[in-house]
Formats: sequence, C-alpha cells, structure tokens
Amino acid sequence: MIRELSMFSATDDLEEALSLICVTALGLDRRVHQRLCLVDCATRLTSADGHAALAALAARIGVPPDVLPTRGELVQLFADEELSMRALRLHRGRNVYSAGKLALWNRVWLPLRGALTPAEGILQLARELVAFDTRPGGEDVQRCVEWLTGRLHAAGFTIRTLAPADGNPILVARREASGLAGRVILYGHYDAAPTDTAAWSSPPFELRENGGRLHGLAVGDNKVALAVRLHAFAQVTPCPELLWILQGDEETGSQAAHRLLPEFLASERATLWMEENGYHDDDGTQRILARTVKDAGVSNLPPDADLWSLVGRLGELASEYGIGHRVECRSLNKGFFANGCPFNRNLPEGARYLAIGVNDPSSRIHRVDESVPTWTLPVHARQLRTVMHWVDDVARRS
Amino acid sequence: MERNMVSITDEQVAAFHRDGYVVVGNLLSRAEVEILRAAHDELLARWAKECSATLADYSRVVSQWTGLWKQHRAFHAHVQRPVIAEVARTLLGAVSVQLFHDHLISKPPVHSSTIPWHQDYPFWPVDRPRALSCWVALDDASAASGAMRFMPGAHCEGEQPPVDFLRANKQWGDRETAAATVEVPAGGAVFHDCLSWHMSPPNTTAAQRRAIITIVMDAECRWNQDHSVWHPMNEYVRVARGERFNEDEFPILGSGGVQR
Repeated sequence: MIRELSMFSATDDLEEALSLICVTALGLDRRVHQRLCLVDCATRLTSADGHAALAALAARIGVPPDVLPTRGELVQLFADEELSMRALRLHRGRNVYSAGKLALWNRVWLPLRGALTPAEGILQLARELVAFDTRPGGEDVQRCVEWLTGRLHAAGFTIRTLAPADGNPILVARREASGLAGRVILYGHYDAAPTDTAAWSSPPFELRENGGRLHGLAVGDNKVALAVRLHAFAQVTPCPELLWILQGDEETGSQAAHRLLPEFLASERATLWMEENGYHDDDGTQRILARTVKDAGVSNLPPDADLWSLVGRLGELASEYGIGHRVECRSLNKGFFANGCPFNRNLPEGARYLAIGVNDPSSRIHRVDESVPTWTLPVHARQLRTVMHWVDDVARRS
Repeated sequence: MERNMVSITDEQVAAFHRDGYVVVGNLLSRAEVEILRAAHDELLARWAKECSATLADYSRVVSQWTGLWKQHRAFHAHVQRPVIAEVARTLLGAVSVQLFHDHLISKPPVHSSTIPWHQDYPFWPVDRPRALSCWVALDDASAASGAMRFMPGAHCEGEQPPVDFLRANKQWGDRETAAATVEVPAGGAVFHDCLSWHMSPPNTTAAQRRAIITIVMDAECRWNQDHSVWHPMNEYVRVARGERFNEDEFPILGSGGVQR
C-alpha cells in the first residue's frame, strides 16, 4: 500500500514506492525487481546514470525537472535515511521525527505518484465492482447491473438493456462523439467466474492492495479493466463515438450473447474494436494483440498500416513507463469456452481489433487469490486516451 | 541551580490524577545534569563513529535513543535513582515498580519537528495502563525550545487508538485551547500518566533541547505483545505472553530518597 506514508509501515511503503520508481525509470525487469531495499534504491538512483534516468522519467510523464531533487540533494536524502537505519541497527537510535523518510517521500515519490499509481477514482470503482458477487447465481448480479447503468449514465452513455430469458442482462451503452471523429466498439463483461472463495487468503469481495498488486475476485477477469475504462470514459474529453457492450454470462458460455450479438453486430461498423482486457509479460513488457479480422473472425491478418501506427503509439507510451512491447496477431485467448467469444466470433470482415489491458501472468485468472499489478492501471488509462486520438486521426483521413 | 529535595505532596498526587501529569521540581542538580549531558555527548561521539558518520551529521539525523541505561553508567545510575521509583510508586499506587525502558529525545536547533498529540500507552506491549513517564529536562525546555504541552484531564477518557505521527491532523478545538505548556528548567521533571495526551512543538531556538525519559510501570503489569506487535522492546522479552516482564531487561526499581 503506497498511497500514504504511515509511521506504522513507513519503511515498507517507502521501499515499495522507491522500487516502483527504480523499475520504471531504469527499465528493470519487474519480475526480478518487484521489491528493492532502500540501500539498493539509493545505489541505483544516485548514480549519474540513475539520476539521469529519474530526470528522464519525470520529463516523460510531465513532471517539471526542478521539482525533483538534484543529484547532490538525492545523495544527501538517502544518506540521512541510511544513517538513521544504521543507528537503529547498531545502537537503537533513530530519527524520531521520521524526517529522512518524509523527505524521500515528499521530494522523490509525491511528484511521481500521480503518474505511477492508479487514481483514487479508479480504485473506488474497482472496490465497488469487486464487492458485487456476480458469479453464476451470485446474489448481486442485478445490483451490479443497476450500478453499471448508473455509472454509464453519469458518464454520458445512453443504455439499451437486452434482457434475455436465458441469461443476465446485456448492456449496450452508446455515447455520442464529443470533439473527435471515428467510432470505437468495446466489449466487456461484469460477471465473475464460479470461483471457490473458501481458500482465498484475503476477503474475495474486498479489493485489497498488497505488494504492488490489487487482489479480489474477478479483478483480472474483468473488473479492474472495467473500472479503469469506466473512469477513463467519465474523464476523457474529447472522445470519439463509443459503443460498449457489457454482458453478464461470459464465464458460463455466453449463451444469450451468442444468440443476440450476431444480428446486433452485423450492422455495426467502427474504426476500432477493443477487447475486454489484455496482458503484460512478467518482466512488464506489454503484449499488444492487434489484428485485422478475416473470414468472420475465424482467421487473422496482420494489422493494417493504420493499426500498426496505433501499435507504435502505444509502444511509445509503454516505453515512458520503462517497458517494452511486443505484438501478437491473434485474439485474446478464450479457449476455455467451447463456442468461443461472442464478440470475437462476430467481428466484421476487415475490423481492426486491439487487446490491451492490465493483467500479467501472475493474475491467476479464475483461480484463488486473483490479482492484477497496480502499475499497469495508469498505463492503461493513458493508453485509452492515445487510442481515442488515434481513432480521430484515422477517421478524419478516411 | 541546585537540586531541591524532591517532595511529592498530596496536592501533587491529586493533580497527577486530575490532570494526567505533575511537575515535581528539580529532580537533578546542575552537576547531575552535566554528568548526563556529558554522558550523552560521549555516547554521541561513539555512536557517530559506529555509524561512520560525522558528529554533525549524526546529531542532525538521529534524535532518539532507547536503552541508554545499558549503554552508559551515568544513565544506568539515572534510572536507578530511588526518587524516580518512589514518586512512581506513589503516583501509581503500586507496591513495586519496574523499568519498561528509558529513552533520550533530542530536539536539536533547526532539525526537529512537531511530535503530535498522542498517548504513549497505545504503543506499548503492556497489558494494562499502569505506567508513567518520568520526563527530565537536560536543557531548559521553554515554549520556544519545544516544551511539552498537555491536555489536562484528557487521560480520564481512557485509551484511544494509537496516533500516526506522520498523519496526525485531528483538530482538538476547545480542548487544545485549554492545553498547558509545561516549561521546565534543566534538571526539572514532569511525571505523566501513560494515558495523558501530550505533544511537543519544534525547537525554534539556537539551543539544544534534550530530555531523558524513564518509563516506569507497575510491577504487576504483564507482557501483551498483541497490544503493540512492533514495539522495539518486544525483542528483549523472554517470558510467555501474559507473564510479568523478565527482570534482567526490565529491572525492578528501588526505593527511598523522597519526602512526603
């Protein structure tokens, strides 16, 4: 938990925050360097190269360079805190005012925090979503639908609810363009897999942040990505026209969606079709799934020139967070459903498909202790903006 | 300044119970204060060297030390002063009292800040609030140099959750308006209940402001780690949960030297 510095976990919080700065600024392997000790952070960030990388990170995310400490100041800040730690270890002395920790927190972490951690608004939406039991037969399905409807209305969407007799409601949310050309069709779902909650090590219906990850039932599939997008679309202006399909039976085979979506999607056209979520590799590398749909969604062509340009922009943005990217020409793997995904199966010929999101290989989708890395949320939020502006560019050229 | 013969009157005992603290006059003579200052200076030089730091850097950064009684004979003698034990026994109404720990807090010029309003007891792994602090100034403690402030009577409301020193922002309203600044000359002592609400502002003078604090508990107190799992004294406890503290690390304090 690195949102506020507390005297009860000051060293832990500070190390977690400084570690995130190190991996982001220096492009370290996130699988290996999840948690660095303060001395290691000091060594890395006070070297000439390290301090230059810190300044470069600040510049990339729009933090004025004079807000961060100079290299000399940073050396002193770390030296003071290291001295306090040595005194505690050697003869039970300490800085009773925690001035060293506070100084590092205020001078180094706070200027960067807003760009490296999720906005509180995203976390609040995710908390509320995770609290709903939307597993098959879960008691909160209808409440979740009402909650989603309210949120989407508040964000300016007009909602049509498809209420199949054999399934949960499908929400079709539309929002007119505001200042940007083009159209995006997004897919998502609010239901959760039928996971056994007894073996969870944290309350499954409470969003918990621990060790740089958000824990909770269905956080990776698909409630956190949904929260990021809800928050983004409530904020993003200008924005192209949006059509967002949110169904409630994906984890049980999408019977109703398979029946209703083909006819519904047949007449829809969009500049871009966006998948519910996407992945990063263990080391942080973003895995961008991009393809051009062929043969009614059955086979894939590589991205067209326009979609490649979007991939380039997304990769550039990923590099601002110290991560690389790679592209795979396929859809998100949903092989555990025999009849496939009702969205992917019904994309029109030539549709540009994109899957980006917040998960990583440790997300434990559909399993006990599901989680998502926290650092991916601000990346995804910013990439959504990039996507919307790319849609505008492409639509205006077409 | 010479040490007064410390006396504790019935009125002072009543004031302690009413207000949560009481000033008992000059506990130490100037010579005794000088001995403790010199001992601290000696330790500072040793500690700075141990940390491979300059004395200036060390003194600027490190501001609190625990367990001095085991590190220097002058502080060992200080915690063993019969007057401290006797006043503590009287104020606590205890048959026997035991050292929890001592600590020295420094508010150096420029490099200090506010210790916010707090109670001590919520931070201690002790099973009952039957303890007090004997706070002795080693430098004159004035309002400007960071003398302690108390909210008289607030201890009567019992234990409250521990205050986070880094995020304390509670507004106390009238209660804070009525708070008392307790200025104490070097050698003077304040005894305050472990549930008293107290704070200290930064030292804005050019002079040192050090204080040696001896925390004394009723010897009937038991170790309760659940009350404070992270307290540094937990590692010195060698008894089972719910038992009296081991006397090698938490010695029973002596008697005598006080007039009533």
